[in-house]
Amino acid sequence: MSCIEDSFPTDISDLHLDLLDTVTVDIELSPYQTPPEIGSNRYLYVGSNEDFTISRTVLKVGSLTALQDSTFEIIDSRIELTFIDTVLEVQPSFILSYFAMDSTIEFSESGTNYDNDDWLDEIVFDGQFIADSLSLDTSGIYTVEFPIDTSVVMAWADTSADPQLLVLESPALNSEVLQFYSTENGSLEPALIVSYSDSVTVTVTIDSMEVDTLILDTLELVLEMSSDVSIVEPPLFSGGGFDSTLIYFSNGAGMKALMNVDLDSLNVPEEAVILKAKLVLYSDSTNSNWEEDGTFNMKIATLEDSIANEDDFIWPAFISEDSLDTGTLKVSSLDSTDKLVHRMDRLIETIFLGVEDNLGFKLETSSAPSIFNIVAFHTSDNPDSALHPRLEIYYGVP
Amino acid sequence: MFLRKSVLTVGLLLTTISAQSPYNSTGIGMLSDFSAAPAFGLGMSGLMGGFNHSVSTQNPSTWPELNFSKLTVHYIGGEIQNQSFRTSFGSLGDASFILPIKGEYALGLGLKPFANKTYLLTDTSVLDTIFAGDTLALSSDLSGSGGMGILHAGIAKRFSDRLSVGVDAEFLFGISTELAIVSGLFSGDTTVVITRNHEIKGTFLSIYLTSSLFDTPVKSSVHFSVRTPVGTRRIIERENHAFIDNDGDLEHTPWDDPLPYDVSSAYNNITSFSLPVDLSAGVMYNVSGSTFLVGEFVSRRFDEEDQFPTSSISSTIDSGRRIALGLLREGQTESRSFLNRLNYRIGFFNRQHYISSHGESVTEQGFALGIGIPFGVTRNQIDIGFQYVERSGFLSSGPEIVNQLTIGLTLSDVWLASRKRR
Repeated sequence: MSCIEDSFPTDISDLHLDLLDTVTVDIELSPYQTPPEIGSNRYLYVGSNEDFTISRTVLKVGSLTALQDSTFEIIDSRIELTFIDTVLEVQPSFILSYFAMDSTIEFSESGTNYDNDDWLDEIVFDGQFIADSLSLDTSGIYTVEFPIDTSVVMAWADTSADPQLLVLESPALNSEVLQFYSTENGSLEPALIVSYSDSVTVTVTIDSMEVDTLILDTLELVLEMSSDVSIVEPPLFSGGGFDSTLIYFSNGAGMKALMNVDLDSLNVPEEAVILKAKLVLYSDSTNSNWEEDGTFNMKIATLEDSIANEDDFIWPAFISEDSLDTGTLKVSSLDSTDKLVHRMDRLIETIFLGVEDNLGFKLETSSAPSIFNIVAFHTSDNPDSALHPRLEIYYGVP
Repeated sequence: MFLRKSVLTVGLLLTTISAQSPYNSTGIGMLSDFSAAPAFGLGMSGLMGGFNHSVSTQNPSTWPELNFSKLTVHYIGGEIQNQSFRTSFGSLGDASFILPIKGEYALGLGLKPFANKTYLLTDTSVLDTIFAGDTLALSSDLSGSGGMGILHAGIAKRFSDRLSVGVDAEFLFGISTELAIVSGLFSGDTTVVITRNHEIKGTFLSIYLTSSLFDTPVKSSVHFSVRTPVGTRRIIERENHAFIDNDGDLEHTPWDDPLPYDVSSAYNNITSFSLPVDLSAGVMYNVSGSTFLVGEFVSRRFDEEDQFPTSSISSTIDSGRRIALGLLREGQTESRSFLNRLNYRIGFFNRQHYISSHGESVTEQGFALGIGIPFGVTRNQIDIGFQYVERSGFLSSGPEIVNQLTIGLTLSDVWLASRKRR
């Protein structure tokens, strides 16, 4: 039996993959815009800045069955939103309106946006709460608290009541956006807070005898919102101010792009193994609205269906509802040199192998420090070819 | 079914647990020209076996000389090393059963190794490639396993006191696997694995002739053989799709790229490839008493121009040869001295393998020592052989030193011989 297995060192360079080659192809990018899909965002907003307007934020009250216990007595109730900002130059009054959401109203935090919120303008509110001042706790966190009458809370908690929608109107702000934590944050989320007293039986020992004593205690229920979304009105490609020779990506502005690559023209052998495939994009920092202290992540996904009408995606394309189905996706980050390099080996490989059809790719923002970031990238229209977006494929043929 | 399974099991032992030399990666691998301890200790390839002065278990034309049936098994172990490389090995060398029939005929059946494809090579070159601004330094490891074995069946007939002829049909079989690992792409984060398998089948026919032409001195003999491939030959080559080994297990799993169910293997049915044709001649010359001078020459050529498809690295198939000279002192069975009853063997040989590259051949010079220890009334025998070999070639700058030891056990019994009734 073999018991020593040293490897024999020798020059066997001709054993490398017979053909190692790199092919590079310029890619065609078509920017388009959809309403923002920011329901899963961790923050809520009101106000405006030079690009975006957020006139209102909609919140849906969660389950109130905990209030249907007849044994306790509500002392007071309030709806509380917590600010992200720790320094507020202005402390405006806030108005929170409410109404019962009957079956005719279709609200979802993932689907409701400025382009389909006309129904909100027609709502006759059941009432409103006003917060004239903000609260500041000892740790420097601001909150806005809306006191609510007990009768209103009990009406909301009635078993026959419809769910309640709350609309936070933007106060008068001078080109400023205020930010709150949303239900997706995991803590400090918007909540209905109910203080109540309840009777509790406590067993105490007096002179070696156990005695049951009934006492009243003040307790607090924190009832979170079930969903929330800010209605963000973004700048539009069609509104001007955007360069059609660039591509833009933004979550808050719903800016995305389609990418087509003519892989058939590359003549990569069928038996090749795709060692590396990199999509390289160069950002145009001067035309970007970008916070340098954060990370911009972009995701690229394969399209699963052909685009029915390609004319819909011609600049300045706006798609009311992005229904492009996508498959496998990859996420990459913009680096400090304004270069974004996507590893997309497997995406390309499945196309070369004929497992997937080459129907194109969809590029969009995965995450950014703020939904208001807009990152621009150069296209093949740039005179400097070094800045062109390109796909580099490194492959070997055994 | 049981016989087939047994044959396959022994065949795997013959072909997979064997010496790894870098030259196994070339051509059809290193051909095994010896596998039985008596020939090994005498430095011979087997035409001149040295079991005793008249019998080689690997030469059917000498089998009628046997008085008893022989069951013989041999083991080969050893070590190969140079300045930077050392490997040890062990394998079954030869297993055969020989049945002499009334001093006129003989039948034989056995297994023996034919070629070895076990090796483990590391590339010492560096190939740099620039991709997307990164410098890729590639290196390769190449390993192989398996090889080829032979199941053979022979028959011999003594035509006269001076002439015996043997015919041996050899059925070539085996599977070899090659695994190439290309790594170092992008700071070593990518390893590409390329594998292929070869399943081989073929047939050789060998004719052996033994003649005692000399009247004086008595016991001297000359031997000839020719071995040539006959019939169809076939290699089923399976080339697996190369993959990036993301999980590092060298197996193509769903964690690798491309996904294993997205690709398929390519099969090639190869019927044209080279196999060796061997011509051998030898002489056993009785110098005096029980001492014999033994000489052997083997010439090897390949019958077709096509390169052998299992060749893993670049090399050229040329002709090969082997020349050996040895001394055999046969034991005196009636001697009271234990030492006088032993067979002593010594030999030297020079071998040029069929593989070369850029005109540089693989050559060996070797020194052999052996001893045969008979025991029992039926001439059972334990044989021990040792060889010291210096091997030079195109894959390494310095010679490889090969130290090999074989141990063989031959058991004898009286079968198909007429027995006296009590």
